[in-house]
Order: sequence, then C-alpha cells, then structure tokens
Amino acid sequence: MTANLTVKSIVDLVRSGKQTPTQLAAAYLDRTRSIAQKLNSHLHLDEAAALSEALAAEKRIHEIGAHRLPLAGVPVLVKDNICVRGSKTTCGSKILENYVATYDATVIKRLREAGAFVLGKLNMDEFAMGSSNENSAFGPVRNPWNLNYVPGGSSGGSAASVAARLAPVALGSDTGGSIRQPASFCGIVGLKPTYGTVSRFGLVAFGSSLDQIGPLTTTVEDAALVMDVLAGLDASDSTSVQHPQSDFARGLSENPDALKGMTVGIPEEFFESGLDSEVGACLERAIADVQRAGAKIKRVRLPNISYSVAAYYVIATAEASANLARFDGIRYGYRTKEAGLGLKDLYRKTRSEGFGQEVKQRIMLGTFVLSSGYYDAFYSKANKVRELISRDFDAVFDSGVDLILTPTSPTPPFKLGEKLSDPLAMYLSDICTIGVNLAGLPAISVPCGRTKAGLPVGMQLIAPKFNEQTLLNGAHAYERATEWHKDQPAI
Amino acid sequence: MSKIQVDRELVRKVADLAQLSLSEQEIGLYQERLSKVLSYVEQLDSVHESLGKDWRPDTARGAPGASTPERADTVTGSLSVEEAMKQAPARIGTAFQVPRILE
Repeated sequence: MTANLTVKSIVDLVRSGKQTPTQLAAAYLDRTRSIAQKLNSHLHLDEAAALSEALAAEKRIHEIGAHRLPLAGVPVLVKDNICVRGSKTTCGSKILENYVATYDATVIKRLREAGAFVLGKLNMDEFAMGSSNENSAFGPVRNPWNLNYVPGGSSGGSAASVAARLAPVALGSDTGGSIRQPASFCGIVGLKPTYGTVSRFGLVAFGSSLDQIGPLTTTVEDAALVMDVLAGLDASDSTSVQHPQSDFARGLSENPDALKGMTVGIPEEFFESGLDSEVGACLERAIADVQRAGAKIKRVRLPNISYSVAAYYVIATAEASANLARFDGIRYGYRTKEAGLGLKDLYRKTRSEGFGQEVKQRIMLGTFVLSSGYYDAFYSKANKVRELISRDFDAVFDSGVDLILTPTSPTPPFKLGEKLSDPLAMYLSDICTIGVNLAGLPAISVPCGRTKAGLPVGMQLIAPKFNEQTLLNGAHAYERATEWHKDQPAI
Repeated sequence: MSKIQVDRELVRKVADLAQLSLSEQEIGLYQERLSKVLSYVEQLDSVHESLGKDWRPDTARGAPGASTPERADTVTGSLSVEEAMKQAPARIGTAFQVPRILE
C-alpha cells in the first residue's frame, strides 16, 4: 500500500477519513521491517515510540481537524543529527552512541504542530562528513537501486529510505550537498533551502555558516508542502529569517507551466572536463526538455566556481573543528574506559576513541587552517574566495537568469569502497553542489535519467536567495514534462 | 602561500592542538591524507581577488547576506538537574565527575 503514497496523497487520505495515522504507521513499519535491514538505513526504529507518535498525531487531528493541519497524518523519517526529545541522536558517531536528546529541534516541533509524526531515525555519515554514507560508525547505507552501490551522503539513510518508500518524506541536512547528492544517487527530490530559511536549532552543528535542514521526497509538490511547514523565523536560531514567500504549495499549483518564459542559465564550467559521459547525456536531454517546456537557455559562466571545493574544505573544516570541540567526554556522550587519566589525557583518549577517521581528519584540517601562521593564507583567503563565488552567482542572476541548471553530481552512484582510499576523489564528488552552500542559495535536485546500469542521475536547479518559489515552480514544471520521478527501485 | 610540507611533526602538533592522541600508524595515515588535501587547497593561492587587504568576512552573520535579528530577552524553562545529569558519562550525586585538576 505504501509504495505509491506521497505526502499529498496521505494528507488527502487522512482528511477523507480513509486512513488514520496509526494505520499508516503500521503499514510503513511493516514495509520497513523487511527492507531497512538490507539498506542499513535506520539507526533507531522504535516501533512502540513510532506508534505512540502516530497516536499523538491522531489525537491532534481529532482535536484540531485534519483540514487545518497541512501535514495531517504524514510519517516523517529523520536524519540522526536532528534532535528528537527522548530518542537517541548519534550523528552516526560512536562518541554520541548513547546520547538521548533532551529537547526537540524546531523542525520537529513544526512538523508535529502540522499533524506529522516521527517514524524513526536514519543512518548518515558521521557528523554529516561524507559523500557516500560509508563513514557511519554503524556501517554503510546501501543504494536501493543496487545494493553494491553507495546511496550518496551524508543524508544517505534519508535518500535510501524515501527511494525505497519507507516514508514519503525524510529530513536531511546539507552542508556541501548532503541532501541533493544522495537525492540524485537514489532518484528522488532533495531540496536545500536558502541559508536562514529553516531553523538549525536542534541540528547538531557541522559547518554553522553552511548547514541547512531540508526535505527529501518523491515529488516536487511534496517538497513544497513540507517546506511550507519547515520555513520560518525561529527565535532560537539567530541566523533564521522570516521567509518572504509563505505558501509554496499554492504557488506551485497556480503556476504549473512555470518554465514558459523563464531564462535558465547553463554554467559552462559544470559541463567541461570531469563530467561522466552518461551523466552528460542525461543532462543534455534534460536541458532540451526544459527548453521544450518553454524556457530560454542561456550559456553563462561562474569564473571562480572551480575553487569552491578548496574554499569549502577550509571553511567547513575550520567551523567543524570549533563545533566538535564540545565533545570532550565530560558533559555527555562517550568517555574512554581507561582509568586514572588526567583531564587532558581524558579529552584526548575520549575523542580519539570516539571519532572516526574522516572526522578526525577534518578536525585536524580545520585546526591547521585556523592555526597561527596559516590563518590568513588559508582561512582568510577561503572566505574571500567564498565572497567571489557568491558574487559570481549574483552576476548571473542579475543578467536576467531565473534559474541555473547543472548536474547534481559529476558521476552516477559509485560502488561501495570505490573512493574510500582517496580523500580528494571523494571531496570532488561534491563539486556541483558546494558552491550553492558557500553562497547560501536555495537549490533542488530532481531525477533526470538513468545510466545503462539503471542507476539514477539527478539535475540540480539553483535560484537566487529566498526564491524557493521560483525554484520549486521550475522543478515542478520539469517534473510534469518528464517521467523520471515515477521510477521506483525494485527492492 | 608557500608549499606546506606535512611531516610527522606537523601532524603531531595539529593533533595536539585538536585534543587528539594518534598512534604512530595514524600519524603516517594522516600525514599522507592531509598532505594530499592541503596541496589541493593551496590552489586558492592562485585566485586573483580585488577585495582588498582590509576586506573581512562577517563570519558572525553566517552565509553571505544573511541577517541576524535580535530577539526578546525573556526567561524560559531549562532542563531539570536530573535530566541534565542523565547525560553525564560519570557522576557523583548531582555533580559531573571529572579527573582531579588541582593537587
């Protein structure tokens, strides 16, 4: 039953009285039992807790009325770096293996107020550091299209679960592409909002100036429905803002042929060397489809975009080295079992045993670029390059471009283990998505094709800041003109 | 930006600053991996920018162009002692247990 449900269809079913949240929870849990183990997608599946959440949603619907709750009865899966009070929040790390969140993230409160409920918590790269979901302390997630391939990362559990229809929506977080790249690898929709659109309160911080929470769904309409609930000012996050647009789903239905008359920019830098030929072919076809849907195609340039990965791995690691300093084995989380250590050795042993290899590498990289003698050469310079990249995007949008179109990833999904030994090869898999985080822009990945081996390929659309409506409208019009989003993995 | 030579001593120094203790084998691993990433990052040096030497990012504002409105200074609830203590890796009564730091 759950295989063909969307956020939209669930709300309709609940409103018409054909399904209740507890019935939906039971149906999804049933499907999850047989599939989650194959994917290693779930870190915490507490069936009793999920059913009690569903019951609370049912009560709320009864009291307030399903018609007044935009996500009435919608089950939501949550990446395990987002706090759900009373449930474990591990960030895919041994250091937080037994950490139980003491409060709800703002996004969780908002979802529950809208009638949705939490179904479970999902696997991820440790502290959201990775592009393949192989860095989890709890084992890699597998791609539902082919279990020998990675689902992308760091929101790999979120993307794999939604693709396998274990929930109609999952929350992810995106610091350098961690929603969009796994969405692309798993053949679903993933939206990274404008920085400040969604509160980060209750999201365990990685790169605070880059992190955003966003939805992974099977349709653009579902992404709009969920964004209507997630977006908004939150006093608990001083970087959150009141979004100037407020009804994305209605905006979508009022403008189904939005690509007609739009100008879509194609940055040449993303189509030059390094692009996989099958991905390139899918994108060429997607550009033709966008043109057929009425958009004008304009070749544009982003002169500094090739420096985005270098700037990102300075800024993100610098921020991570500061953010992860709080894990010291004193107030919460893992503490080394070694007895009789002094304070400093306790910190060091705890952190060395609790963090995985990639996290330690990034903490050291961040510590290095902030250290005396290297700060200006690395950190200050990276911030200047970030500003230049941001201005490059502004210049393109100022030249009359409504949306920018790129591949989401330069390659299709790769095999488990294929890039693990080469940190640079892994970092470069985010080359199409990282610039968007540096500039704080909104972007979406939508399915746009499959390789000969049957693996999904995604297309990224990028909009000016706080133009989520244009972004969603454009993606929706593309989706209406194509069939790729209807494909499901046979798992 | 001069070419950085990532030797074992530099890895030890950075690990020390980052409050990490590494085995000899790990030092070798990170020497190789950090060296690879830093030599890639050094390409930033070739970016010509005209922002001027006094240009500074407003890092407190988050992403470029983000704003930070102030909020009302109101009293709200906080965790109970017991709730906060539940997270402690080691405790004595209502105190977080830490190693002795004063002799």
